[in-house]
Amino acid sequence: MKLTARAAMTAGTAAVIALVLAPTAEANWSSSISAASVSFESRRWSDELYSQIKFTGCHTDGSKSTDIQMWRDISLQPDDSYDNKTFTACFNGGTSNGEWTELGSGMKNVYFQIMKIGGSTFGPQLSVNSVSVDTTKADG
Amino acid sequence: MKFTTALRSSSVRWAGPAVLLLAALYYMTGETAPPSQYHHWAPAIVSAPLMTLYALAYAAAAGLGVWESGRLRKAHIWESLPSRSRYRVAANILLPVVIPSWVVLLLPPAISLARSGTAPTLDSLRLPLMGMLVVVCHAIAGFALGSVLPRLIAAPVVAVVDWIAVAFTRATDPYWLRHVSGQFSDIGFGEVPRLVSLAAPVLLAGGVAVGLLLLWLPLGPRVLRGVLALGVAAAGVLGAQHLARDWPHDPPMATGQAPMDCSGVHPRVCVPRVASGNLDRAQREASRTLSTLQAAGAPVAAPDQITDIYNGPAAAGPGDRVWRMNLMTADRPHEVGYQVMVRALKFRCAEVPLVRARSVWLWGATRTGQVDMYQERRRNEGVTPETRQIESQVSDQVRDVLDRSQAAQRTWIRSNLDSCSKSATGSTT
Repeated sequence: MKLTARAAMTAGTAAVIALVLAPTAEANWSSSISAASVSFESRRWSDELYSQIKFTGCHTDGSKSTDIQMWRDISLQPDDSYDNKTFTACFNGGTSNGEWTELGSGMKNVYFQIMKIGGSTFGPQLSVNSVSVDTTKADG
Repeated sequence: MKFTTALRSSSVRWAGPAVLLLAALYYMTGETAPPSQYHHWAPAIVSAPLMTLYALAYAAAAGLGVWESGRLRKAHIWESLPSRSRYRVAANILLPVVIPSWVVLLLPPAISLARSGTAPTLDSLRLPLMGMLVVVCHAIAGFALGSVLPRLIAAPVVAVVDWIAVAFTRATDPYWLRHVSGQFSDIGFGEVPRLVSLAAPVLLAGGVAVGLLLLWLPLGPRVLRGVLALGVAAAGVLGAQHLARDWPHDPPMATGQAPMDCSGVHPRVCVPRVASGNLDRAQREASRTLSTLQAAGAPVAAPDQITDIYNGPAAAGPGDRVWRMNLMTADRPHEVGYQVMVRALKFRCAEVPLVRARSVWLWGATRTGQVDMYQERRRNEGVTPETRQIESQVSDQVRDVLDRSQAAQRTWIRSNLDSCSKSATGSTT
């Protein structure tokens, strides 16, 4: 658990956050986000080497961008952070696509976190019609 | 003073068990996979438990260093032994202090190696040895702080601050902070941390420690010693930062270090020796799958070599001559063949409609006799009303295609692999 993120969540806003989980599988999954605030954390999934996150249909009351960061959950320690990516295309009718290729081998308990909405770390909320996570580059 | 005498009077007697208890807690809660899953790659087995233990080892050394230094000050040791070397006195006191931290860095990896039935290698000792050196540096820093701060307050504060300063680098940007902290993530099969990766944290901690030691030199004016100490410490910090400033999430690693066995030609299939039991079957599956797809009219450019994804460079090789896929854990029939089929049926476009992609894969799986593997993949992804509907469409389309002539199937597979349209080209005739 990331201590700072957990503290932020505890003291966070009263936004109703609903992550509607689709498949229960560990591999690829899809979902949606409703009125999430900064520091919102996705569900955890097991992954190695590669993960791809796609947002389609983004809505916010702030500027049209959101920063997404990948984390690896580590028990009783600060979590391991990976690159931060800014999604903008999903606010303009397109699909925002982030790929993380440095996850390393060995199954890791990873999740993504909303770090900024509209360039701000406090205030705006974000809804996403479709969130999909693809954990295998080769597919099949 | 004898080592046993120093140990008997040291705070390690009461603090050591507490440190080891914490280490045991981290070892048990931090394990993400049993050591047996690391395929007997000793550096990876060693790195996994260490990942959560570096900060504890360093914090314990720093905190106990403060405590022991304060104890000496309170006992007026420096005044009563003016002729003795300060370095020798400090070394006598600090040796017991670093031992619990060294045990924290050595015992858990040793347990993991024993659990997996793996012998340690020289490469697997790199991370523990780096950690042991950094432990000494933290102990020296704690000892220096303890000579000026009240130990009752400073010892726990220094330990906590040290733990936070090291552990939180993992969650902090920029990446170089974590690379100079002395904290490493776990490493993968076939990987060995390069010496430069180990040098960065040693340079930082060592620079600071040597700088502090220079303050105790019995020579020269105090100001000169201070300037010299500051210069050495700054050189260590800046040198470490310079080394690591451009490293990405992972520090430099030597990859593909595990010994490999290869078999066959066109394609030549290579797997790590620890998994070579299924090598011949993997080569047969790969060869048969490629020739079957080519005979069925799929535009397949067969690779020269297929090798394991875990034991090679992180970046993909140039072109399509070498395919890297998951061979090591593919220990059941058709696991390799199915991966080869998916890789061989290469879509021209990056984005492909789901129904089309799965139709192509189901067609390929049917032609190569690997339908069970296709269905297993779908089950593993989860079965929902939506996925059942998609699979129904896929099955209908593929059944229709398989009923067609060989030439029509050839046209269908080529058009589906080439097309970038949003809809599946199921009606191609």
